[in-house]
Amino acid sequence: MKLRIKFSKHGPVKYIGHLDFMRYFQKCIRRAKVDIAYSKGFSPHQIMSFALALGVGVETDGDYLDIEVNSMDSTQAVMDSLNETMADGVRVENVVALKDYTPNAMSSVSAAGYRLIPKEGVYASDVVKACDMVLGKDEIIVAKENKKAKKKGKAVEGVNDIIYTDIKDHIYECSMTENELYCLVDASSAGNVRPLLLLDAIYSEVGETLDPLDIQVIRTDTYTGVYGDDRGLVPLDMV
Amino acid sequence: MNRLALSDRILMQVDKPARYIGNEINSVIKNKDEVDIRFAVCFPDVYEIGMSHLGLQILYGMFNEYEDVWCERVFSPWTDLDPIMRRDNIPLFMLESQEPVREADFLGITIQYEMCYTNILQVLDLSGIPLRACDRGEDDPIVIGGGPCTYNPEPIADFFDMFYIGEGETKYRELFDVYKENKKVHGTREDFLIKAAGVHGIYVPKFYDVTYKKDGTIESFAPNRPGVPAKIDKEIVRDLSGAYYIDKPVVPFTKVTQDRVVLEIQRGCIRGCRFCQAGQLYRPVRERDLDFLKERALTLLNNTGHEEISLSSLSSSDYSNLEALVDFLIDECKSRSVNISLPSLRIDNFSVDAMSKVQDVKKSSITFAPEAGSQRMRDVINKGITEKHILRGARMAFEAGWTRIKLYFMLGLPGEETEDIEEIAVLSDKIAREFFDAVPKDKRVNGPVQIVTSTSFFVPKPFTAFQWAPQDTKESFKEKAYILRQAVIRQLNQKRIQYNWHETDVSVLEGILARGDRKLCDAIELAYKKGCMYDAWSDTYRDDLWMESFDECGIDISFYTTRERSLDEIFPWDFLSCGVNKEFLKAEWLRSKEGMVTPNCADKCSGCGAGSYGVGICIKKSS
Repeated sequence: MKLRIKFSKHGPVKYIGHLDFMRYFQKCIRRAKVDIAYSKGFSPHQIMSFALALGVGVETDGDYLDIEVNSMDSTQAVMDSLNETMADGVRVENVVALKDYTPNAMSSVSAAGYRLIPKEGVYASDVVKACDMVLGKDEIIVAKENKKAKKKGKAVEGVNDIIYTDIKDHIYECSMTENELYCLVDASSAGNVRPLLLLDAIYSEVGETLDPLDIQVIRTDTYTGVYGDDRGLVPLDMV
Repeated sequence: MNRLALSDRILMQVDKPARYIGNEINSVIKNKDEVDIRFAVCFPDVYEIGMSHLGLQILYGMFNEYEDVWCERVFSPWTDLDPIMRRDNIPLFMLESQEPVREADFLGITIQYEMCYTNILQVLDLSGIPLRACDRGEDDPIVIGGGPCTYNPEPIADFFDMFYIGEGETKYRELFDVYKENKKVHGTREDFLIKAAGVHGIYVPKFYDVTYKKDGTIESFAPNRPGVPAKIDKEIVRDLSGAYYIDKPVVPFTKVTQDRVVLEIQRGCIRGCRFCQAGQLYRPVRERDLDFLKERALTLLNNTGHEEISLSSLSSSDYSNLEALVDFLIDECKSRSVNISLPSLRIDNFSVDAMSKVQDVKKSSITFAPEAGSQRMRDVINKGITEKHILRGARMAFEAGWTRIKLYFMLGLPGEETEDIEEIAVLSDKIAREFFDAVPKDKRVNGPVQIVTSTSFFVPKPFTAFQWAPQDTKESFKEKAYILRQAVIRQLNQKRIQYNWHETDVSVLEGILARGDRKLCDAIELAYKKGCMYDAWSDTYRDDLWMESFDECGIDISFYTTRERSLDEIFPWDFLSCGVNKEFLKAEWLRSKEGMVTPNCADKCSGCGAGSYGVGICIKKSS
């Protein structure tokens, strides 16, 4: 039986990186005595997969992982027992049983919502104004580090170390006040948008430089489905 | 608790910020106003190393069971954070409260290896505590050291207010009560030190004076005030099953070195390997009850959620109920999908069978520690195994499907000749031959045999039979590694043997510090001030700065390393007792020169002196 777990992560636990957080969750599941299914072999591992990685420093209201269990009393019981053993700042918000053949969380992610909040003070008014200007353009070009080439040691400065992409079609919603920027963007494996790149484009529009460390990023929820479709985007626990 | 000692900006800039946030599962938060004593327990190395240490978890758990004590953890900030804390004047903090270490009544530092001495100074410095005990005032925490290196505390004596000699479970309660009593009557720091010096196992360096002979050796070492014991005897747990043992260890967020449940099955070792300090310090061997261990294994797995459990002891094969314990664990762990790790096992029918149940023979390796290549040298070090044992063990492992064998040896043992070194290569080759003999061609499905032969350089340690022995020079170490490399190349199966050797510089420094005296305090402080830190890490070790420091302090390193001590020399650690007496060690040193072996404690008592504690194997024998 497959279960989908929705969790939130706020406060100091945001400094736990994705791999460590996966290990943290595995230990929680053991402590909570959830009857999770294991792979076979000498080093069995829990059948578990996270929908999206969460970067160090990013908080979330809605991230997801799928697990497979052999048995359970109820989804509520699973949620309660997990919450009894969570560290401060991590909460299990929902547990739902998945129908057979529901695609797994990782492959079904299509979009994610983000709030980008200045850690101190507010956004400058010209930056807020620039948001609509940027969104009104035909294309929004952002620069990304070419991680693949860098990893292979094949990155050449000024040639292929930076990739330029147009993210215009991958931004579904975006609005900005002096307190926060909210955006709903593509989070699929093919077209994932890092929200700080969007904010960086807005800063560039008015000749400002963004220091990413000034901004707290909070993922508000993770969605599946197609934006603008009949059903539209649905949070991963509403499938 | 959401307020962190480090700003968000700093945490986002350093590697693995989760090292510094506390708040882990099973960490303990108390109200500081409701406790009498705040104890900062420190492992002076990076978080992942410190959190892997069982002793720290034991003290942490035990202290926090005391209602009047709040124990918090402190580790060395990594090299990326260290300069930031200095630049911004951020005091070193305790993980739980995130408050400065200076807020604590005690800073307890566990000293597990000599190469952490400069990190002790880093911790003191970043905490804003004067490096020298004599410069500390009423508001500074009492700095107390513990752990194996305190069996020669002299090189770091000036930096500590006191040392706790021996096993931590027994005397801290009494020490805390003395501290509280002293506070109640508005006693000073000095008053407390005087009272603490009367607690069994506590060594307060400032109450002892040392004088030296012209040749630099010790002339006298004696208390400088009345009421302070001339000889300090170690503290020892009499009944391990009745003593405190962890039930809810802190579970780190980050992957630490020892990311598993650690079950200490016994303390001490029956083997009397002459190079081994731990084998002497923790005598006599004491076992934990099987039922206690079974219960605790399950409790620990339940309370941590760890996916692996490991047995801990100096020689697990000597635990009398090992089979029953391992069978129990295999049963229980299988149903919970928990891995079992079985280190320090002698290779025999039972262990090969057990290990093949818990490991994938295709991926794992089997480890042997013959320590020396020739039988002559194995007798010198009293290893108590023969080539026949080793080859038979290897054959069993090969027949069970393993192809990868790791071999550990030491170079530079007392009396070592070129032939002894070359025998390491010959033995490695014989093991390879054993494989080809034991496993017919059509059965070699897991690939050909791989032998990984590693050597470390021998460092003589206090309280061992070799405490009199000269240590090899750096040049000699290098030459010996070269001789062995050449000898490996000459072997028939040389392509199946991979030879690794350890750094030589670090072994020399370890040798200086291990048998050092109080005269080294200045050099250690100077080395720290020149920038030495994390000396146990090869990337950060600065041999040049260390040698410069010894030079500038007028320290002749050969006095500590290559000099052969005379039998009547007073050692810096002679005022301490670990039970094993100097006469016994002296006899062992002389026997080693004759290549005479000494039976282990289970076979025959050799009267080492640890029998005076009247516990463990010493009383089992007589009853």
